[in-house]
Amino acid sequence: MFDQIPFLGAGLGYQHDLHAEILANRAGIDFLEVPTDQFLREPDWSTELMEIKDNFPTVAHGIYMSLGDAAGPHLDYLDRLAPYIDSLDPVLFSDHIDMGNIPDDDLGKYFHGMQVPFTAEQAEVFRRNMHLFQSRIGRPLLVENLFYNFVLPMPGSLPEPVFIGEILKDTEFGLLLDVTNIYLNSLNQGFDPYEWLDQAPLERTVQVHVAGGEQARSGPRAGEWSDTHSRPVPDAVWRMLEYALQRAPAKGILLERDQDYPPIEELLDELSIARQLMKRNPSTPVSPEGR
Amino acid sequence: MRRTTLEAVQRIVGRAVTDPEFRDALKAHPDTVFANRDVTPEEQEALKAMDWDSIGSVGTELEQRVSRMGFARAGCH
Repeated sequence: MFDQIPFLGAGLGYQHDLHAEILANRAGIDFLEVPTDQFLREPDWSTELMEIKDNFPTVAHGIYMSLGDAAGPHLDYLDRLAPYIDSLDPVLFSDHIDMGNIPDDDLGKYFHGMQVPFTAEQAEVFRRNMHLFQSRIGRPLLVENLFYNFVLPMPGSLPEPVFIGEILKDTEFGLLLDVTNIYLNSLNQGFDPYEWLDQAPLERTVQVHVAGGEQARSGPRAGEWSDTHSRPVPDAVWRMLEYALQRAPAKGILLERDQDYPPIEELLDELSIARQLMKRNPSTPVSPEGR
Repeated sequence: MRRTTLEAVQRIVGRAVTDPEFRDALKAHPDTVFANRDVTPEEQEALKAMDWDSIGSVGTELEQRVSRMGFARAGCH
């Protein structure tokens, strides 16, 4: 299924605040990743959605599909999301290795980014939910490694990259490799990010995320890093990306910037770095333009 | 769909992260919390060993993250 995905290049995470600037600089942005939940919540943005579709190749990204929920996939949510995905017609859809919705009826809150146990049983839940999701969406489906604040030391836990391999084993699903999440988790949890990359099924990588995070200066989590998407991509993340690309046949590298926006030129400069890394890496699929 | 102990573990963890009263009960009387839930003895021990005071602040951070992303910034992690 991934053979059908075109080369994407260096792209930017769509933000409505940047809509006009994105359109004005489309020559420097190869593709857009569209957070479909934005449009689910803001139906009045249908004009913007069509402008995106008319000007860029797109990939769709969700945050509330809760693919890890042992109670089963959230089909009601998927039914609401599907029309927007059909309207956008992205080349693929991605969501996270999490249980975004806390499955407890009397709480009823939706969160994104809740940690899951790294067990074989949990991996099976992902595969089951993802098969159902993909059958309804009819597009390639990627899962993204998570930024997390704690690890669940459950019996039978696997190393995270091995767990991700279990999710993807004998499936058609791909990996959305978030290099920044690995880097920040390594700082917070104290592991070697390069060993993580060595154990990961990088050969299943279709797309990459990079971003910059921040370190808490006060409060109960002082000293810990968060994936805030509010700073330039650190050099350490670019180096990790260069290492990962030796094995990861990524078709697109996506810069995430959700707040504290710099001048658009700074974002375009970061896209140029990503483009250069793809260009000089042997595992990167070649674009029609030989980029 | 078949209910599994994994589902019970997810419910306990999710609620402990986001519900301070439940978290306090889990710390003070874990066996009472586990009594009506389908979790194995090994899973109970793993849950008892977790630092819920530290993890509790994650719930606040999650709420802040969702709030920060808001409707106009339903960003992606």
